[in-house]
Order: sequence, then C-alpha cells, then structure tokens
Amino acid sequence: MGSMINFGIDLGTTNSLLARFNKGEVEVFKNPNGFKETLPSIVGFRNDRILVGEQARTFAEKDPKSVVSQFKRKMGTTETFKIKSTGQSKTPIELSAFVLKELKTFIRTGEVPDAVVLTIPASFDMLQSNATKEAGYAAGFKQVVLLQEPIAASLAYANKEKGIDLKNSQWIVYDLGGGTFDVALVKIVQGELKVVDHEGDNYLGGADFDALIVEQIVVPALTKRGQFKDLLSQMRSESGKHNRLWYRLLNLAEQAKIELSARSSAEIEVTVEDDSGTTVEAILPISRSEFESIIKDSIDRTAEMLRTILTRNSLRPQDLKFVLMVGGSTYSPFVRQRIEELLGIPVNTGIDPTNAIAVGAAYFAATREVNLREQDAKPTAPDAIRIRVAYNRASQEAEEMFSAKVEGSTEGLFYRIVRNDGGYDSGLKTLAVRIVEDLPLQADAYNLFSLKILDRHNNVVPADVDTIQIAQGKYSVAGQLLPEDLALVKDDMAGDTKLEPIFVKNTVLPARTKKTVEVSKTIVHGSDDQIQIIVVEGPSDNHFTANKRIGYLVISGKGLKRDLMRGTEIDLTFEVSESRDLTVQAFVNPSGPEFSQVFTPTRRDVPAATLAEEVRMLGTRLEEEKAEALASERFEVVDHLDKLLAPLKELHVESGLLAADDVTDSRYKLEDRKRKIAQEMNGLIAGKRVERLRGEYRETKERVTAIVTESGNDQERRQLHEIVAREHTFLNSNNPSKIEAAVDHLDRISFQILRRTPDFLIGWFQHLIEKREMLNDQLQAKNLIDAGKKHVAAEEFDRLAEVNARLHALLPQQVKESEEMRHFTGIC
Amino acid sequence: MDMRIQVPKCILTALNQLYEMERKLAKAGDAANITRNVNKIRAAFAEEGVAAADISGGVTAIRLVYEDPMGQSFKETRTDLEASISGSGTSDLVVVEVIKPIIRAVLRDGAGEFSKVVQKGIVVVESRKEC
Repeated sequence: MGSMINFGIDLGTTNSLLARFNKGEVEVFKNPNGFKETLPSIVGFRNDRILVGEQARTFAEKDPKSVVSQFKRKMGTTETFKIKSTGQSKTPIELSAFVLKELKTFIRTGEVPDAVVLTIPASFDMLQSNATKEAGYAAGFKQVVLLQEPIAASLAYANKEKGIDLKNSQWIVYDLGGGTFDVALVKIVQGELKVVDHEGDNYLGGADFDALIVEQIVVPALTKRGQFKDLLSQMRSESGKHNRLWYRLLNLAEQAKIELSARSSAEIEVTVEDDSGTTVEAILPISRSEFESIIKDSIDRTAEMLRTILTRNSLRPQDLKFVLMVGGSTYSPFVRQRIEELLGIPVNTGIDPTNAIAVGAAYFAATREVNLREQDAKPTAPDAIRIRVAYNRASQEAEEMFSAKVEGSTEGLFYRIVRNDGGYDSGLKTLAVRIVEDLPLQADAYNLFSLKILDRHNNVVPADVDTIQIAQGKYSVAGQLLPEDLALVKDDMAGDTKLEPIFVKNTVLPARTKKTVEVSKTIVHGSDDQIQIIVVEGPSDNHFTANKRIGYLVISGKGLKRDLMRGTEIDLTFEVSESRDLTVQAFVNPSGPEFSQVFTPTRRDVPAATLAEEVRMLGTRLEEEKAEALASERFEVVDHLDKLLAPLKELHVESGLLAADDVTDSRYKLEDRKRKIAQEMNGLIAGKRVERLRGEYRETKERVTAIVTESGNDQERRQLHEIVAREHTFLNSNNPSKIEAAVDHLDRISFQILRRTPDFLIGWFQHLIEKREMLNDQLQAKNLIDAGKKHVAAEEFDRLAEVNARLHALLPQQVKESEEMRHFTGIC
Repeated sequence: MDMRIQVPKCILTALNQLYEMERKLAKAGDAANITRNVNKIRAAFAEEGVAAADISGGVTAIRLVYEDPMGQSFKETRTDLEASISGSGTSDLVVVEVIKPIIRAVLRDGAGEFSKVVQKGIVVVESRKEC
C-alpha cells in the first residue's frame, strides 16, 4: 500500500482552512501570520503584488476592482474578474488557486503535499466540481480528490464520537458560517455516506448579525443619548460624517456577539462626538435576549429551509437522528435552541463548528491513497538562483530600501519578503532581474526578513540569499550596542544574591528601563543601616562577584527622614546613554525622597567598605565550596580551591586596610583581583550547583507526586503535570535559578496539600503551644489554645486552621522573621 | 526562524483592558491617582513576562509589550494590523482609530532579543487627504 493523501482543505466561500491527518490525530494548521486557523478567501492585487487573506480583506470593499472575494460562487461559470490594477482578468479557478497556494504556507512541518482532498458544497454540480479540481491542479497539487462539505462534517463527527452507530440513520448538517448558509440531508446508503438533499442561502451569516446589532441596538441607543441627524446613513456612507464609527462599531459588535455565546449579557463601550459637538460617552448593555430577538427572523428562515427538505423527502422530524451544527455562527446558543424548538430534532454540537469541515476532509484524506502519474512523481528541482543584494544594514529610518540583482532564469518565478516578527509581508511578486522593495523597520530592533523565491506552485526554489538583516535604532553604523548584560544584584531566599537583568547584551543604546524592588529589611532613619543598589556588567547567570561592578547607589538610614519599612517598594530607573553612562534613580514610594547618581564606565565606583564585605563573602563561599567538594571526594577541585585561598587571604588583609577615603587606584586593583578569584572559583564549581539542584528536583518531584496522587485536587494535579511537562526545559538550561524555582513551586504545591491534612494542622498547633510563653497576648493565646484543643477533639480541622493562623500572628516579630533571608543588598 | 508563540487569551484581554485604561487616563485625567498602578501592571508584563519558552539557546521568559499604532501609516504590506478603511480613499492611509493595540512577545535567545506579533492591532484607517 502506498502512502495516504492525509491533507484536507476546506476551500470556503468566506474562509478556508487546511488540516493534516497524522498517526490517528488531525491537526488544523495555523496561519504563521496572526495564528488564526482560518484564511479569508480573498485575493487582492494591490500595486504589483498579490495579497491573499486578511491583507486583501482590508481592501475588499474599498477597492473591489482590484480585490476579489466570494469567487467560490462563480466557480464553473465563464465569468471572470477584471483586475483594475493589473489590467488582466482572473478566473474563479485562478483566484481559488491563490488561496490554496497561500494555505500551503500554513504547513509548519515543511512538507510539500502532492495530493489533497478539497471540499465542495453539496450544491456544486459537475462543472463547479471540475472547476474546483482545476484550481487544485493550478495550485501545484498533482492529485485532487473532492469531498462534499456535509459529508466532511459528518466524518469529523463520526471520528470524534467513535462509539456512535450511524447505520440505518439519517441526519441534517446545518452549516451557518460567516457569510453563507447551507443545510443538507445526509444518510448512509449501502454503507456509504451520501448527501440526499440540500438547500441554502448565499447571503446569510455571522457578518449580517454584526450589522444587525449596530443597526438595531447601538444606533437607536446613541440617537437617544446625543443629537444625531440620520446617524445610520452617516455611518454607512463612505462620505458620511460618521463612517469611521461604522467600522469601529462592527468590530465591537462582533466581540459582543462572541461574548453573548458564553454569557447572558455584553457591553459595547463607545465615545463619539454628536452633531452639536458634544462628546457622547455610552456603555451600551446588550442582553442575550435582545440579540436573539434581532436574529430571530434570520434563524427562522433557516429553519424553513430545513423544513422544506423534510417535506420534499417525506420525512418527519423524528426520522432524523440529529441536526449536526457546523459554522462559526452556530456557537450561538440561540441558534441551537431555536432549531431544536422549531423542528423538535435534537441538535448535535459535538464538533468544533469552525474547523469541522477541514478536519473531516483530513480524516477522509487518510483513507485515500496517493496515486500520482509517473511523470509527476519525480519533482524536477529548478536551478539555484543567485542573488546579489544591496541595502543598508543599519538604519535610522522607518523604512529602508532593499535592492537586489537576480542571476539565473527568473521565468515563472515569484518572490516574497516577510519580516520575522510578523509585522510585514510583501505579498507574492513576480521575480524579475531586479528586486526593489521598501522594507518597513521596527524601531530600535534588529529587523530580520526572510526572502523566498517561489515557483508557480508556491514551492520554494533554492537561492543563495534567504535573509535580510537591518538594525534600526538611534546609533551610528559603527553600532552602539551594549557589549554585556547589565544586571541588578538582589538578595535571594537562599541567603545569597542573584542577578536580575536590567539590559541584555546587544540592547541598542541609549536605553532606559524601570524596575521595582522591595526593601527586604527595615532601615531605621538616622541609623547606619543601608540599602545597596549594585549594578554589574557581565552574563546575568553568573554570580555577581564574577562580574564587573559598574554602578553603586546607597540609600542610608542617615539620609532618610522616616523609617523605610520592610516591604516598601522602590522604583528604580536605569538609563544608559549612547556613550554608556549609566544613571540610576531610586524613588521611594509613595512620596518619599529621590536618590540619583550617574556612573560612567571610566569612573568605577568601589566603596572600600563594600569591597571588604564582598571579599569576606567570597572567602565564606570558598570555604563552603571546599567543604562540599571534600565531602563529595572531588579532590581535584579541592586542590584548585586551595590554591585560591592564599591570594584571597592577601586580598582580605589589603581590602581591610583600605581607608574609606583612599584616593589612589588601589580599590580598583583590589576589585579586579577579587573578580578574577571569583571567576576562577565559579569556573571550578560551575555545573556542581546545577547537578545538585537536578538531584533535588528529582527527589522533590517523587515526593510531591506521591502526595498529589494521594490527596491532591484537580488544580494541584494540573500544576504538577505542567511542571513535569516542561522539566526538560529547565533541567537542561544550566540555569540554577530556573531549577530552584521549579523545586520551590513543587514544594508550594505539597505544602498547600499538607496544610489541609489533619496531621499537619495538629502538629503545627502543638508547635505553637510549645511557644506559648513568648506569645504577645497571653490571655488571647490561652483562649485560642483552649479553643484549638476542642477543635482537635471534635476533629474540626477547618476551625483548627483558623486558630493556628491567629496564634501564629501572636508570635514576636523576630521569631516570625527567623526564617528570613540574609541581607546583603537589602533589596529583593 | 519559524516560531509560533501563542499567548493565552485571558492575558491578551488583560493587556487590551490595560491599554484602554491608559487611554482613558490620558484623556480624562487621573483623579484617583492610578497611573502608577497601571504603569506597574504594564511593566510586570513587559519585564517579568508571563511564561517560559524553550528555544534554541536556552529557556526564556515571554515578555509582553503593546504598541499603540495611532497615527501610523498603513499599507497593504503591514501584517501587524487588521484594518477597516473608512472613507473612500485607499491610498496614503493612516490609522485614525485604535480598537485593539498591537501586542508583541519579546523573547531572548543566544543571539539577543527578538519579538513576535501575538495580537494584530485592530484599527480603522483613513486616507490622509480625508483626515
């Protein structure tokens, strides 16, 4: 048996989708640009480029002479669309081929399918069906298999509900989409799914409902609130005073409509100037019943068509198994209820109404073998194209011209340039010897574009240039980029420090950012206590002692008018100028004093006392690391660490002797020496901490999994599952703080569960009783303890938890904070 | 680099609401002194990020920033905006109304920072001549 087709396309009147069957599952591919599954079936010819989808839709109403939509309705006719901008005519087949080719770009797996299943409405006759096949061939598919849309929807349903038995039954597929309505009677005839009868309205769908909301609900409400003369016509007319408002309201109405599928009411908030110049601000509530009353007539009309089918086929409602709902507009509960109510047939909402047809097509494709003609099976690779490019790699403009000269045959080829952040797409353009394109640039960023040369089936042709890179920013061509990360030193929970990146390497200068930190220890005004804001340069996953210190700002108790309480937030502003001067501003909230200092790279700021403290910390760390290395019998590391001891001791003595007002450059030399020792030490122990944490993570995971399995609720199970699912990302990251965070999260989950267990609550209660002597309010403490004992006896554990919390609050501040972190910087 | 980042809808909704709050504050003033709070929420999304992504070069936070396209020019090649054209002209278009801002995810890999549009801006545009 050969390979299967596997690819299915819903080539719709308003929207198209592509899905792929793979190992029992169907994936609906998303537009790389905007992530929607749907591609509007609209093709535009703007200037000399071809646009498909959203981009073309923007111009569909305004420039209908160069933009074409709804061409599916003309399939199989001799009608052609005259394209004003190119002077050419396009057939519905050619236009459909553009949509199909564009859908190919959705395939993120990089496959280039030769065969495909395309869906067609039940109403399509032979000519229309053949035209659809032609479109498939024109898009580069070598084998095209057609499938009726109601059948596709039924297949999607049957594959989802595998247990269901549809033998000897018949049902209705009710398809109410964005702009069209179709209804079909489907039944199994001799083991095969067949469309027996169908009806439809090509001009009924969700977009009409949006317009109804605006016309019948919003406009009357606005007219009541302000002075408007003929608001609706002023909105709908291109030259009308309120034309902008029409588009804004359509968007808001669509959002409200979607909201009303899930909730009983929604709001449209609108601000508009009325004819007298007064601003009308309105929040217009729309209830689900209001919405229902305005679409009722349309829905009843669809029910009538359904009834016609029943009459024509001499069927009673009870002869039908169900009505299968397809199309975005059937998300509305009213549509479902109304059809059920009017016809007395159960409504089936078992499938995703948006993508059911594409999904069904993919299931069908999985059962059809690829059967290519011999000559088609061998793809011929076109010769590689050589491209010589000329453009500015660095720019200060909002747009930059890209030009290129193409060598090799360009016949029948196209090119397309796309910006990688998803902000620009040149559309498909005919390839000639010269390419000239204005590329818009994102400000202050590296702009990466991909340049693709494509053949007429939208398959990529190899070329020697595929990337265009332009840096946009306020700097010269020499490039003022930050050479290393700048990071802020903060205290961490483990009693050490950690680095938080302020600006990352390659940030375009000048740059400015804000960070908010919390004071981790109370600074009494007038005292010698202080907070240190230290900025270092170097990789932000280093320990800070290994990085170069470039900025230092102290907030001392002496400079404060009142105490700075623990937990107070400090807003820090960091600014790096083009010449790499760093300015740090600290602003204590809510109306506290402001501190500011400018640092220049040539004037390093190294206070003597801090240097001595850092050297001391480094000594402690070195001893700890050595002890650990000894315990784990890593003697080589011990030897190396020993060698660092002597220079460190020297440094200790020298830095201790350094006077606070020493004017020589000794402090800088000492700081350099300290940094070198720290770097060496980090090099020796790198990996060890990560290794230890990996072990810790595994142990914690095992323990927490057992607890969660035993007593976790749904949410806790989900949290655990999420952590485990992404464990390979942090375990392989070599970043200890990421692993630590995961361990911490696991611990929190287990604590959360344990906290609910009686054993824990009783144990904690006992612990607090042991501390009763030190509790702040003895009388209250006694009452609480008595109450707690009663709760234990009565097994009222919720109440016991409350008592525990209140007892804990009575502990002296110092004890409560005994678990607190060690403070180095005083910020966290 | 074909990377597709999807941000949960609730987060995009929160950012859209934040954007609206900012606009209202700018227009109606800040009697209740909440500009700072709004700025802080925005900074939390922009600096701390919302989730981790596993990309080549390590794991990185997905930071989210929004951009107000008001007044920017619009061409058919822009794919970060979903526009409705008001008025009759279709050339030299400029954004005159913003219903939703552009939201970008900012990530970092070995080579530095890069961004991806995760929500297109929804806007009304008009020919400059008509504005």
